[in-house]
Amino acid sequence: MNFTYTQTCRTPFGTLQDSGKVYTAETASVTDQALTAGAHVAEVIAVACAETGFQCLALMSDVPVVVGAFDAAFTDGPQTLVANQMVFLAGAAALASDITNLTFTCNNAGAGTLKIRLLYDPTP
Amino acid sequence: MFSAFTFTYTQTLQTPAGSLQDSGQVFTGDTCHAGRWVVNANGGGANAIVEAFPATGFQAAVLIADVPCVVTLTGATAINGVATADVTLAANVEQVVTALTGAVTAISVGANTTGAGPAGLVNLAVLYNS
Repeated sequence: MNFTYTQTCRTPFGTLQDSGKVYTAETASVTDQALTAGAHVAEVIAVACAETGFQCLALMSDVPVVVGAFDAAFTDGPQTLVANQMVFLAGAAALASDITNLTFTCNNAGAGTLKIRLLYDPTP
Repeated sequence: MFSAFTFTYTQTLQTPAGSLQDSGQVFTGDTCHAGRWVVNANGGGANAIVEAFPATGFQAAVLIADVPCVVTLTGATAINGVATADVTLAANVEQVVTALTGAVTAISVGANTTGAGPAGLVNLAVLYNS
């Protein structure tokens, strides 16, 4: 399975666009987590992978939400998502340990969806 | 008259289950400049570039090269929260800097980091409030 991550930056001088970086692994996990309106504190999402097989993880939501790893597996700690802006984590340095669950925390007036795309090798 | 310039940074992820495309992150500043410089072939020397921008008021910088290389932002003490002055570039993969500590007083463009790799070009665009 492949994930291709591409970045583009429009500037006053023109657009800088890369050719995309391809990540390859055996398993892709796709989760669209419904976020109902109101308060949620560290609610668990069943997403897991081993640190050693981790390739990359994309998080994007249409409402603001904080995504954490139940076991503090993210090296940089919980990821604060702005609405409709992707957070992309890749490579071994992004994780400090295995991910056994993800969590979400938010308090939104409206409902939304948190999209989670994970690529990993289950038996590296 | 004050003019605002913007950089709009967008990310796309293509997966077997479809694509994710974000709506873009907009950075705004009153000063922007850009440059394109030579990356020497592997084994060559670094190229010293006259370029400077502050950490105070810094908004964003984008770097992309067509060959792998290391760009040193002389004077920087941390880039995107990591204690380094170096930005390591893979060929044709963009690197975006959104957090900078230490004013940049010059730039050094290292040679192609791949053995026997050819010369190439690196692009930089930077945006800040002066």
